[in-house]
Amino acid sequence: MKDTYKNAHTHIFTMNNAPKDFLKLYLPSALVKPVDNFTNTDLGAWIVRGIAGSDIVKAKRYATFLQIGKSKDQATVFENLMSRYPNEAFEFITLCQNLEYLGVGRSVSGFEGQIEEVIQIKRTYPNNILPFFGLDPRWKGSEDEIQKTVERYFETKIEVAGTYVYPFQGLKIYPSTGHYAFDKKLKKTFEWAAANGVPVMTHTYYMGGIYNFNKNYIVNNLNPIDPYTGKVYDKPQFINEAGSFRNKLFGLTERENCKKTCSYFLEPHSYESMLKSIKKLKICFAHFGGVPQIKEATDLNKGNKYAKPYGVLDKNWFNQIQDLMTQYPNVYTDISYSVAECLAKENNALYKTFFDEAGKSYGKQILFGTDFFMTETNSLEEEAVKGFRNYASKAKFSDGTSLWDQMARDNINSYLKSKYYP
Amino acid sequence: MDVSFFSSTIVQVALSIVISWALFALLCSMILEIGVQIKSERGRFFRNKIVEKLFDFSNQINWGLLMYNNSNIKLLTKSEKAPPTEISSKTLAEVLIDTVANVQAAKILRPSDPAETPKYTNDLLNNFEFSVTYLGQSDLIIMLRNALTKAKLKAVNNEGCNETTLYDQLVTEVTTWFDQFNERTSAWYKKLSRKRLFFIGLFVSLAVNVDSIALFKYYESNPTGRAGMINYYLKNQVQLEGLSAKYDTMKKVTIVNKAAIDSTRKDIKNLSKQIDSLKNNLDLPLGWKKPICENTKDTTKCVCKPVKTNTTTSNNEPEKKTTLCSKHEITFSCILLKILGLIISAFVASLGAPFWFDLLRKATSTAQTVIKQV
Repeated sequence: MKDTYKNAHTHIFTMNNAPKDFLKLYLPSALVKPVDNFTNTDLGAWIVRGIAGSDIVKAKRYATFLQIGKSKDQATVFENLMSRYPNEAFEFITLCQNLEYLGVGRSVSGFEGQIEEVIQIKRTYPNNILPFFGLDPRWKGSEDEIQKTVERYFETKIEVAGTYVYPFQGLKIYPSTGHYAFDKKLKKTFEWAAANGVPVMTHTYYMGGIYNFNKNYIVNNLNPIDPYTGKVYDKPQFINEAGSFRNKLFGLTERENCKKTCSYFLEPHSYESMLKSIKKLKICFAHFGGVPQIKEATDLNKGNKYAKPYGVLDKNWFNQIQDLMTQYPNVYTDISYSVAECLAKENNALYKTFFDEAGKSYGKQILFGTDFFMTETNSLEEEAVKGFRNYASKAKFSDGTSLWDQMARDNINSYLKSKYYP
Repeated sequence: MDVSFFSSTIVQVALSIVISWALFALLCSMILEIGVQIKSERGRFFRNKIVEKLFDFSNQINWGLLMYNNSNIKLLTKSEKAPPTEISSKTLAEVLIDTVANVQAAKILRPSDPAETPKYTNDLLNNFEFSVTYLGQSDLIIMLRNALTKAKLKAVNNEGCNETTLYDQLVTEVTTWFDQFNERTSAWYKKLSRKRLFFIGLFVSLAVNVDSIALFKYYESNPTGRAGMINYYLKNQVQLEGLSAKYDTMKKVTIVNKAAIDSTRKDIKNLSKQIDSLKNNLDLPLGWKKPICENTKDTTKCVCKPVKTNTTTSNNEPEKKTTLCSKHEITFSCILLKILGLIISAFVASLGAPFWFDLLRKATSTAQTVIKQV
């Protein structure tokens, strides 16, 4: 275990690791090709950023996002990330993404190809990268096969300058791509992870991120049998809302409904049966539910459009995560992405919210992370880190520990501690 | 008897038009080349084809991407967006063998305590054989497995298997495959270049009115023009053929740097100057300043529709027929011919300068032979 500061949540995947038609998830079909082609060049991306004022924040965000995402390889993105932290040795948890099953085609690299790239980066920067293996129940035919393959990937050490190191330090799931965390095919892998102290990271930003936009697929997979209770998870229903005029105009209504329905896959409540059964499982609900949920719960912005989230419980996700952390000492959360949103004036008060949360009983279960390079859609990575670090270094607890030391070092160390990161 | 091959009008017209086409195609090739150099197009095209063809669905690994991440190739790369133009088949073969041998997806399949002792003293060969045996049997893996089998056959002698020979033979087998792949890629690139040359040709011919039909008519009716064009070619044959070889879109190696781009720009400028001077001296029908439709024939022979003048004069003169057709009249058929002429020019450009210069070389050498024989 190293005493360095760590960033618990970063991404280094490139467009080669994402489905060929990845942009279809974000843009109307007619815009996909032009935007894709235009942002292929630095000049194109720069022009989009330049002409997109604050009114067209989305265009600006996508251009920056695409510019990094279109890097040649993951090593380039990782080097870009490291260059944002020039003055100290930092370690980064990088989350592999298995994005092969979004219903918009397969990736150029292939998932195993993505893993090979990450392993190569581990060989080059063994002291800086902490890769998390992307896990998806659709990856292999059976739960045994998934568990055994994952275990072999973790156990097979790689040679780094004459020594041998474990290539992976954790697992990453992304349920909004179309599965529940309690999926039967993941059960054995999670049991193995719990037995070996392997941490799991899951995406939990309400209505933010990547979703499955295949309605039929979602409908067919919305009510599986929960293997931990033996009962059908029957409450979720496909959400069929009329949608806004804009969405109707661009044919985005069904996509929006898919996105809303995928909230069932992500909802923290859906993890409860698994957590009850696999008590030792270390799992981090990334993003703390997302800034709109945090603000809604902490009364900073009452009445926002996310006041009543889609899901089985109809309960604020920030509160749901708080409850889970109180109940289960191995449940964690991180403040990634939110840390970039905090730079906006209207969100400045969130620093104090994080400090208050860190002072509670589950304070040691909150991790620092940024969500690079998604952060670039809001502000520069280094600005987000600087903003939080300035505040958190001065914010001290009664024992003299700073918020920064706790969240960016101590808490992440206990989250990571495992056979593969002793 | 004084017989000159070039004294025949038909030959002169044909030669003049082919020279004009060759010059036009050369200009278009130069324009394409500058775009290709700026965008590092050849390297990217080759990389994209490798990435496209070496995707292994069975193992969910893109070997092409992994090859380009290999240090041997990375070190040859100028920048992220400019992959190397020319990587030898042997280097590619060595990199592919190394990549397949060291892939983690195969290493995880190895038993932790292997019962068998390694077959070869060389780890690379052991790993490679294990990978091609236990990874999913995709087309690429099968090809590599076959290459290994053939290499083994060649490496075995009375004293057993010579590992150095085995490796060399394996590299040779895979190199042969990459040679074939390079040939295929060159053919694909040629096809793409032709399409691009067609559009560049169309654009340039529209911009400066390079109408092949008008040129033909011009040469047919203008002996001075014909002679001027042939003389120009014979005087500058070596220089033009040199440029044609330099801007052959199919040539494999292109040095992409600022000096090369500047040199192409300079060549474009020089060639444009030469074409301008030809245009002025010979009064070639280029540019839009000249009438769009010029009837070279006598207007009295014009076949345009007669138009009835709506007059019955007071003195009951018979109804006169006048014609709308004048020397510079724009008619529907003339517009159609103009479009056809421009499209022919674009097609001419798509064949590339080397094609036309080869044709000219053959024609002139035939002419020399005919003259000698006579």
